[in-house]
Amino acid sequence: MTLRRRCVLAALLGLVLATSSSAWEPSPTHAADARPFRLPFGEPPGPDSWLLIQPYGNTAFAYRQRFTAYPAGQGLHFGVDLAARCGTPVLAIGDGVVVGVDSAFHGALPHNLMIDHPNGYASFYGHLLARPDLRVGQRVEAGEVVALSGDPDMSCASRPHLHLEVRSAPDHRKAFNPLSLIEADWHRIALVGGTSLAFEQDLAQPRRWQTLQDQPEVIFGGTLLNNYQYAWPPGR
Amino acid sequence: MRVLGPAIKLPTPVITASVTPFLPAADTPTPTPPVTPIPLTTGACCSNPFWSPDSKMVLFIDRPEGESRAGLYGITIPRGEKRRLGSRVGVYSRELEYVAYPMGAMAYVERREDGRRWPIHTGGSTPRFSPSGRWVLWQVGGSALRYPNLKQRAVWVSTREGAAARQVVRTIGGGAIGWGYGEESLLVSGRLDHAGAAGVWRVPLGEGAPLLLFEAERVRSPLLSPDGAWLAFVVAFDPDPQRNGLWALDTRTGDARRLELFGAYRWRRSGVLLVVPLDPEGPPMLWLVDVTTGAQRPLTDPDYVPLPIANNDWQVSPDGAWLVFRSAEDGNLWLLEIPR
Repeated sequence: MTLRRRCVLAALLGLVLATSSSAWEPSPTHAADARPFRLPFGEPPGPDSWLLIQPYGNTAFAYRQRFTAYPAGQGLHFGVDLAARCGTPVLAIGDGVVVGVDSAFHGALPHNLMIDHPNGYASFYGHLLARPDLRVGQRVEAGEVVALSGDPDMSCASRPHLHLEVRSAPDHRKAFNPLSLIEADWHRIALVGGTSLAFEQDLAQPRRWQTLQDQPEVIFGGTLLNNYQYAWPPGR
Repeated sequence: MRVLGPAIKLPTPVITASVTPFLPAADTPTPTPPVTPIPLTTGACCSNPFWSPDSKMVLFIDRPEGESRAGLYGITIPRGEKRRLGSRVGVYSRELEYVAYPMGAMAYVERREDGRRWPIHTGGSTPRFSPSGRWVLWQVGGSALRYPNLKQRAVWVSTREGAAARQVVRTIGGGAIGWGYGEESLLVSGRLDHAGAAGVWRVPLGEGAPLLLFEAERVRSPLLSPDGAWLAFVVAFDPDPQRNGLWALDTRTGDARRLELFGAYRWRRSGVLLVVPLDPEGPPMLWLVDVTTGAQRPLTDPDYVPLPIANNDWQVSPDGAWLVFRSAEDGNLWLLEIPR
């Protein structure tokens, strides 16, 4: 095969891959000022109920873990972490249909749950305490108890929390910022503690991705978005 | 540990949406004239502000349009111009005389006046200065996320020039909080051995054994007062609901008080905390708490003083007179003179 023919074939292959990539699919849309989902817990936040411990996106923690825990999500934290004691009832954030229970493909051990919603989004609940008592195809309603929160280390003493994602449906190949889609005053919820929920600063663009809502979409399997040449704070 | 009393009456620990759990009934002040936040920056600039030691400048990292490199910028309050102070991004000593930064497997402490610097063998960790700036501490250890090896760390200290370096303590599940009162000790959290108690420990830098000041499986968001005499922190999800909330600990005596308020907090000065309660029902407002007595009072009226703090990103000036916060509405830095 001549070099020219190999280049043509490579270009055609690239075109095929690009047009099949979810990056070319439009994101689900909703009214700019409407957030279609509710919180996954029934109680307001507090030291007895639940607390926001890691938001979505370009967090400083994600930067340190971009090669280890988060490479599949382009290095970013592709969900929101809400601390809660093990066994806290987890509510469906919207009406939908169960499409995955304990899917090994999505991780977030020991148990997880995926629900597709009719608006083009899906919600994913990770680190659950037990296998949800649901079957694929089962319909759920917003606010219905669908699971119990757990701990990825399965001790309930280590780091018990709910890991919640909002993804594109039905492909689940993109992640979106749950804080932009769940109706809540997230800046008030972030008012816990003596330190801010810090985001990593790329010193080439230190203003980028520094707020709870201003965070990029994630395409699973894509290249790292936060492998900064110069960053602050540093990796350790 | 001695819990200071009398027992503080709290709202019911079972929180419902219809209850405002953390705001005791009190008239909010309506100052005349009302203090008004002042905008400091434009263009959604910038995150993580901090103060100059003389409380006259707000500092932050930025790279404005046209600049080739990020750097440290400052704005003289209340309405000064933004200006570049230097190109070195790092951890600054309290008096801004020195800056520490990692480089590869080392760290450096650099004197800003003449650029002289000293290497410190931190393994790439970033040192933190003591309040006087004479000492630095750093942590070495894995970032493993698996229990029970969660965050096993060794805490080291040396002079700012890197002399007299030594490992002070190893922690499990916690880490270094900062310098104790008089810089004679370190405050750390977690366990000191796998079978031992977890909580807040005072570890002497001279003779003596570590002392457990407050026992808790996990201490969240610890924040030392500028002199190291007091520590504010959160306990959450304890089986005993009376232990959950915002605490203030006297690091010299071990006396601890759980505060009635719960939310964001910063020290105004030693023994006096500013709190923005986590109240989902009402707008943000600022409270002052004397942690030595538990006395508290509101400082701002939300009808007159908006406080739309983004990301819990706010800092109090060293003299306790000003507060800078990043606005959730426009992403800019705003300045508020704190009512007396």
